Amino acid sequence: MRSARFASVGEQLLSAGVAPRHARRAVFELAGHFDDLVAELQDKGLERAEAEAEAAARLNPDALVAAAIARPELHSWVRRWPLASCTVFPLAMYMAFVVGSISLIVGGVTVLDQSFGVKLAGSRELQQFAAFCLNGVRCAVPVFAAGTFCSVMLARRAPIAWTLIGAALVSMLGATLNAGVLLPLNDRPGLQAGFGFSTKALAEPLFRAGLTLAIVLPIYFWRRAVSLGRARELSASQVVAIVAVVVLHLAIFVSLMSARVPRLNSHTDDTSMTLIVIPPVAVPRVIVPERVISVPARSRESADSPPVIPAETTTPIEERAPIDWASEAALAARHRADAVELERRRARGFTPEAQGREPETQVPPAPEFGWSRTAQRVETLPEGGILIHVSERCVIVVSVVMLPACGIGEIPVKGDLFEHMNDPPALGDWKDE
Amino acid sequence: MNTSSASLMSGIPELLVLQLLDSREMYGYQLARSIRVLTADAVAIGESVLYPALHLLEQRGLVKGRRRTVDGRERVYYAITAKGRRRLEHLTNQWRRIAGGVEAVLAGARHA
Repeated sequence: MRSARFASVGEQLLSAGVAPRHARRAVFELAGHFDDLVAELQDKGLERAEAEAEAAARLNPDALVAAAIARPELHSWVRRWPLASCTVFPLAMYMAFVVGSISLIVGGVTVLDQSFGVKLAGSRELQQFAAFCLNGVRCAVPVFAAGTFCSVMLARRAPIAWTLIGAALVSMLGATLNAGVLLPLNDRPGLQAGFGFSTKALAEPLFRAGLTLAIVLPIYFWRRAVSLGRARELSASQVVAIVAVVVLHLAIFVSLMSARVPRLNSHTDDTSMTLIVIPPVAVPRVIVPERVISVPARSRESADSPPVIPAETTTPIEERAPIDWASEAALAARHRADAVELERRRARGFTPEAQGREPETQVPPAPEFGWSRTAQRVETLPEGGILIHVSERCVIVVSVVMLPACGIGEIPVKGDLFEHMNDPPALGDWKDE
Repeated sequence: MNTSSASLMSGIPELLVLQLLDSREMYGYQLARSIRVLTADAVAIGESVLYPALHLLEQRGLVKGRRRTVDGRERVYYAITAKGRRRLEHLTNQWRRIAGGVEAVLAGARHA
């Protein structure tokens, strides 16, 4: 390769902070210029070796390096803005990767819902796949972002300290990302993601951060040694084997994380629990009269039997089925558990414990009402913090940290519009008798 | 003209490069050779130094470089832009004013 003669010039330019594209092009142009000069000198009668020596003297690559270094405009942005390049840039890049990958998952789930009718709430396989993808985002995106950042910094020959700072920031932020499938009992399903960690459970975030660095940094240092000529390049098959091993390990790790997602009915840390046990009782049929006008006198024989109301004087509204008190109680308990669970998730934010609940009941689709801008946007959470409704699908929980969450799919009606219609009038309230 | 006077020569490479590119697009070796030939070696720009200068002109939008393969050789050809032409006009006027002033002084000194 004709540029090989000037490879050291390219390395000098990169090490001095010149942007890679300028360095690469300068080497390419220098090599072409050298060939043209050699040809010109050979035309003048010089031997090949003499022509090359003369051309090398005239070109003087050291002068090119000095001229390029003297031009700050030709330097890479890493050298011009070092602080931003090792703090803002890696974090922004990581956030872009997270948003992009989660958007892809949400888009895929939405397409399945709207085009193929596969509901997240109704498909156990889709829930598992979405959970696997979100766990993949949690584990793989920090590795990918930190690796990309290290690669960018290495291409610009940035100092090691800057690279380590950026990679550490990405791994730490990546370790606090939590994402999962949100399947509340009486609410619409959704995918949620946010950043947060519990001081009581630091082992997992630290492990994830360490895992990210353990994967990325050895590759970075090896690539750096290769670029400096201290290590040899790997063959394509070796690279494929290493990548396959890393991907396999990541997949196993993600699968293990998906398998240990806590279920709704496995909470043991609840401080309060309401247990309602109502034995099933056979309830006799009851005829409900609309209005009783008169009841005839009963005879002694008929005293023990239920009163018989003449057909002319009673108008039965309907013959009701016996009330299944056990199922009613179970439903009420589920509603209560759902409300408690929802409040607890809002309060907990996006800690790993708050992720991945399993549905127990599903609300059938019902006509929707659009979210009104005049509705109350801000709610105060009982555990502290506020809940801001950005839209009918998205909320932001502002507590210790700011946590966004969005739901997908159909929005079921709340059904509580007439809930307090029959409440007794409160003091100061007016109500017709 | 001696190239040792850096301050006097600072704007000349830019002027010469833009002037040469105003007629047709060229690659680095062609530019260096044209300057050598046209100035009869009076202006000797370091041939390797030409490239950082070209990159800088491109960064400022005065020239535009693109890779082209001609006769089996791939090179980076540079062409002047509209902004480069305005800059060339400005530099040319500036150079003529300076050169005219210097010439007037030299002519006056001869007549004095």
